Amino acid sequence: MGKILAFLLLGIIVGLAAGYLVANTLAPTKEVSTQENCLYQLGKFSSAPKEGSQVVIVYGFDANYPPFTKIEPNGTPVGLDVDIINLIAKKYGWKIVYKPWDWSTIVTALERGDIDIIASGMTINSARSQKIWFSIPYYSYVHQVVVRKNDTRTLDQILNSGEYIAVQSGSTADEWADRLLKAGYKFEKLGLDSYVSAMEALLDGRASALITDSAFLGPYLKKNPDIESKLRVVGNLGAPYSYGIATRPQDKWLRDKINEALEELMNSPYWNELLKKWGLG
Amino acid sequence: MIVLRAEDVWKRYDDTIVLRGVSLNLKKGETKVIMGPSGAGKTTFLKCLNLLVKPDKGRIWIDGEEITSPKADITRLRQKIGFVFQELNLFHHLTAIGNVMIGLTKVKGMSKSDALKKAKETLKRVHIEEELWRKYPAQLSGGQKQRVAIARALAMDPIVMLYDEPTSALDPGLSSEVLLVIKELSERGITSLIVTHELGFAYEVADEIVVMNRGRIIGGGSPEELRNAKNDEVRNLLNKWNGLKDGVLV
Amino acid sequence: MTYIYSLFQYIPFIAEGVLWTASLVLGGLGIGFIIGLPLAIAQSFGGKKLGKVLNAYVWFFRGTPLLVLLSLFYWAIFPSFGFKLDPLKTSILVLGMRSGAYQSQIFKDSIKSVDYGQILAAKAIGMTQRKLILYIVLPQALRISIPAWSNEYAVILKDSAICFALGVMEILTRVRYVSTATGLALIPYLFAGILFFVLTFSGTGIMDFIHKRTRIPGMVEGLR
Repeated sequence: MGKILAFLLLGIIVGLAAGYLVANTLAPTKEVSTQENCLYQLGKFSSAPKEGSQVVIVYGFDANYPPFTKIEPNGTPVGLDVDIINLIAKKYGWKIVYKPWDWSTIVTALERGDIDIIASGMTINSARSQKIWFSIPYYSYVHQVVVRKNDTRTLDQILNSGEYIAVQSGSTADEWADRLLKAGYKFEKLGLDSYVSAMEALLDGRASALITDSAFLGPYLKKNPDIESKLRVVGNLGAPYSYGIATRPQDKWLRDKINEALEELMNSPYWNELLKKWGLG
Repeated sequence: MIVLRAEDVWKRYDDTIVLRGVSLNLKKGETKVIMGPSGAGKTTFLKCLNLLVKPDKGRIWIDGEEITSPKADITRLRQKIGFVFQELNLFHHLTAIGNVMIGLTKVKGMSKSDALKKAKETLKRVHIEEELWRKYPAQLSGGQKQRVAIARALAMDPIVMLYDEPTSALDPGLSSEVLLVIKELSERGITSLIVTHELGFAYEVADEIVVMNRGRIIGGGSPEELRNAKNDEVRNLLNKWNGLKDGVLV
Repeated sequence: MTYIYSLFQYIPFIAEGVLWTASLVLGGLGIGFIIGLPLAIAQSFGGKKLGKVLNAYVWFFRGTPLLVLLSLFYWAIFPSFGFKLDPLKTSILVLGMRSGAYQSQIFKDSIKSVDYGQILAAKAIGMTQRKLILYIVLPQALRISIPAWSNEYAVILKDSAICFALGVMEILTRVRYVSTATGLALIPYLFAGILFFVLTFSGTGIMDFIHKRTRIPGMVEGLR
């Protein structure tokens, strides 16, 4: 009896030790923590760093938004945004540390210095611009309403049908749904945790329509031609939106460097190849 | 030689005064029985003696040392008092022999083998045979549990044993085995103070019977003297008890 | 079929998340135990003033959502004390402190269920408070705690998924990534469900085993 309790205690201590060990060996910031001095040092990129010193940029992303960011089977991030960051880094000889971060707290993480940039299909808007500053836009898209092919109603009829319309919760499509409801349209919003599950809801009939954006829909349909044949785009909503690379307001030097490199990249013939590579061309 | 001495012990709970100045001496080798109706304060008085209940007023000496003194080492003095409770409160997670050993190893600091030897001897003294040693409390009868509890207290080599209504939680058929053990121990010179309702047992075992009522000692004497008690209150109580079946007052 | 194949490729990536989840859960449970048990003992045997202070701790950690706690400790509290802990260590500590609050209630209840008569009996043979807690109360209380404790394991296992808010790559985070990368909504989550089921089942299974092994002969559960 006493022995077994002792084993129980021992088990807990071993568990604790194992937890600590794993925590140490797996720490995602391993590479960064060797330079602990510059971690959390806000404004470290406000002006040009010392000549000859290695610039390390911690790149924050939520690998949840193909084709801009997604994850490979071996765990490395890929996508248009990842390619852009890698090309910029290559141009200047920067070192990039990839750091996945949840979308819900990613802006705070940038503000507080856990990450130095966000390039993860982040839409430039005024609310965000009060806290973080964006580079020049590198991709534009428009919001679209999608229905199943056999649905022949018009955009107005669908938005007033009282039926479910799926969106990704917290996305710009979600904002659009709220704006439409406020304007007096009559439908039910079905908020789901990703574009993929919102698409799924439309396909299996839980929702009659889907609000999404061209940046997601185009490449997705290209990759899934069987789905493309089942869907119809009813119409667009409002003016186009743009993606930008987010930085801290005070990191002026970094932003200037990114803008310079982005401009050069987007004016080169390679830019179109890059877009095509990710199905965005 | 007086081994236990209580002087003017008072205790109140909220607005009920339970003890109103109880004094008592216990000599080495002596057996005293405290009797009295329910609510007389017998159990509270007994628990005051080893400070399980803290008296409001009054002084208590064990073996010449004052346990009520602020400087007293209470845990050490408690080892000199064996206490057997009314409730059958053995340690549930230990075997019969484990219950007896734990005080020896953890309080007295004996080695396991010495404690084991001592525990076996003590269990034999209370007629707990070898086949019961490895049983857990939940596997023992009430009478067996209470005898193990006696052994648990006895093994600590106390200078006095206190019994707080040791048979009142038992089925009537199981009382006798416990009373027999108490009687044997008392006859072998273990100083004992017993609270009980069993009049017949009290007459048999006691050198002196103390009668309590409403927080006070109202009389006492040897069994002989009590039979011819002059004090009206004591005589009335005794007559009442004698009228009850088997001398058991509930 | 090609979808399924593409999912297979991701299995090692998801399985690696088990290590992260395990470190969150085991670390959190361990720290929770180290905090919770002394807390319960202090609440049960300590004075009233101490009890009030400790109650405040328990209420704070039980009443605040985990996501808020994580952000608060990661960005405000730890840095203000001069600690710059990485997200995984912060998550483990926060899970541990929170679980400590819950575990203290588990242990407090089971300490309470050890009847007072045994405590009196332990005092009567001359045990100090420390000894009677160690040798009489805890061996019984810990055993009584096991079922509630394995429940806490299952709870913390599921809570650990919230730590992704700080960028911790536990199982569900990875599954969410795989779901978007493969375009499959159901199957990756089903796989995660199986992983969680196996973890829950094996963890509570071990606790059940210990509970049975420490059974006190003759004692009826719940009755004593």
